[in-house]
Amino acid sequence: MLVGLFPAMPIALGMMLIFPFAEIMSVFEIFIYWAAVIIGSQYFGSVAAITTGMPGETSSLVYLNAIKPLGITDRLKMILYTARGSLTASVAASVVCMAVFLIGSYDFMFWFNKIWVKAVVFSLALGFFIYLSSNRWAAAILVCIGVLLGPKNNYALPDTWFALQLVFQNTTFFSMALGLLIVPELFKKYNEDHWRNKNNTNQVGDMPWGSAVRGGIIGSFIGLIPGPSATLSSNLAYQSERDLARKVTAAESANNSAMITSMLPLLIVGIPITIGEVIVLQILQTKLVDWPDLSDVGAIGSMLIQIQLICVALAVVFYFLSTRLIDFYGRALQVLQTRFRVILAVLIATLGFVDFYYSELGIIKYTLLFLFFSFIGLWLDRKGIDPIPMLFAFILGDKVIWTAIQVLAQL
Amino acid sequence: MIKKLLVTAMFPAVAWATPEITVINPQAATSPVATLAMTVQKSLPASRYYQGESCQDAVKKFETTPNSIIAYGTNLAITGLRRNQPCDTAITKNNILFHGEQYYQICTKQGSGKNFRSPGATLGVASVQPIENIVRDINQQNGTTLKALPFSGSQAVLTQILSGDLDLGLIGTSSADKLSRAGTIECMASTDPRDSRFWGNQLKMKQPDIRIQTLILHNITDEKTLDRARAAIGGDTVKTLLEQGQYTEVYFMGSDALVERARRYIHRSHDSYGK
Repeated sequence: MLVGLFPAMPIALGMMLIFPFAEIMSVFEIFIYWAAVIIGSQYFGSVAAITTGMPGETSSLVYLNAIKPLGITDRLKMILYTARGSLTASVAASVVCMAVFLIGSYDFMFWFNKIWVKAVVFSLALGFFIYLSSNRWAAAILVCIGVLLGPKNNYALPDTWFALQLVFQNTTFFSMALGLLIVPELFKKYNEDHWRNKNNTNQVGDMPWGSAVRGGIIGSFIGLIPGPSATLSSNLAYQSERDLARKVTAAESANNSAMITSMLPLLIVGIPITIGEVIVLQILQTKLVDWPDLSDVGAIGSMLIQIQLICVALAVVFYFLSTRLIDFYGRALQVLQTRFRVILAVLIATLGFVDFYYSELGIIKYTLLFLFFSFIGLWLDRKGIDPIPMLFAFILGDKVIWTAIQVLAQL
Repeated sequence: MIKKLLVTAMFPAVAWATPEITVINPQAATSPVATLAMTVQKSLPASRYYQGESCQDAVKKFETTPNSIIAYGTNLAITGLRRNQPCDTAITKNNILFHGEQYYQICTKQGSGKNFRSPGATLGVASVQPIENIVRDINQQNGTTLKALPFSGSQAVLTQILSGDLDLGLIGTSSADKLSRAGTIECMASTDPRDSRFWGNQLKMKQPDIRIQTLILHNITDEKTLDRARAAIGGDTVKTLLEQGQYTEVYFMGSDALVERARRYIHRSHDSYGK
């Protein structure tokens, strides 16, 4: 929950907090904790994004600019809808997980890791961003820059690109997001009319249940692609819908279901596909647990079904937590508007500090990179260009390039 | 240093009580070496984990951070030589805290029927190994038509085999054993010369004994801090991991023989496949 609510805090950190208690925890308890971290981070990540405009986690990025015109009432509706959508999606994903296990088809689970499937999904995700942008050329260039900066630890790159990778290595997503998206907000001129007009908006209609279900289904399948599957699925679900309420609900539903199905490869065959899962596996190894014992399918199935039921229960708990606090979010939004610039500056400073603390960069390089991205953000803002395609391409860049290398090698 | 000052301002007693040890992982975050580095860091009180974004980033961090240790692989030195990048660091008998080796198995998906002689079969391994050069050598000496596919790490190789897209992959022995016992994959060869399926006996190649030679190196000067690092690396938690990972040639103290073994492997590999 905290990992989601507090932008800049990596999900992996939530998993690492378990280390001191791992000795006294059973395997089941470790899996429950893992489920709670990933589901909670998605639920409350959307709350942080919708209230403050800062992405609680990377999968909220896709709708960050689109919700800017929304007033308080509409934002609170969005929080409610995304919570409902997330609950629906969690149930859908749990059903998919159990179905995959009961059908016993490893082939189905790993079909999503086929090179051509990944190539199509990544192309669609990036292509949609460019196609649906109001300035396609600018979006295409930003996507190329993001992909260019994305690779990490990739020794298959040509020398020049490898050298460029070194300049931007250890750049954090949040230093980029703060610089490109949030800092420009500080310099915008807002007057009282702006907020009054904003709060009277009525752009969000009824709960789009269909979008929640569709988002849940998209996320359930995309979750099986290794890497940033939650971000990828929220983008695809967002792009597949029409109006804003539908788009945001679908995106948030998709990232929740993606998180749940991404657990499958580790639970069933012991293969981690996200960093959080590597940490879980490592905790189990040091507890002398060789998970899973592939000769005992019954034990794996029993654990899987229990975990999925727990996931649904956790989703219900998080749903109530996130919706019962709706009045609090409303008050927070009002405070945020009355002291917008001061609060934004404090938030940028605080998040910048936290991000710097968890980053692997020294203060000089961190500051230089932050200033660089802030400068780019201000310039793009003046030109009326949305920087989100660049951020999104940066997150996916590593996987996109690996997929491209493998496609080329097979030709 | 700035981070240290910030912590000191908030928790002065904790910050100065014990010098912090930085545990550096230079390889991919999902690699077996990352698991080893994380386990060492977890066993070390007052320590922090550093994920290097590239080998030169990690080596630079190691060489410029007092009280740091690095889970260094000889494959990094080989990659550095191959790519003309400063990825090598001094290996001496005094800075070795641990030495261990892991071999690979060459596996395919159960029932795929693929082997080295299958026309156009793909062979994949983590990109720290020079797979293009290895495959070129195998094809030239044996008349095979293998295609090389580099991957971000061993887990990516494994998932790609299971997806049916990758015909053959080099996988760490412990993962390979587990999945082949379960009947998910089948392993036809090994890079371990002691294994009856040693691929050097099946194929002609310049250097068949490809392995991951891992050294945990330190640059700690204070004896008490060094003892703390030694206790963590020699502790039960790390030993458990080493057993599960089927490490061989395990030593917890440096020697001239180990330094020479690492040096010879780096140069032999570079001569065989680095150019």
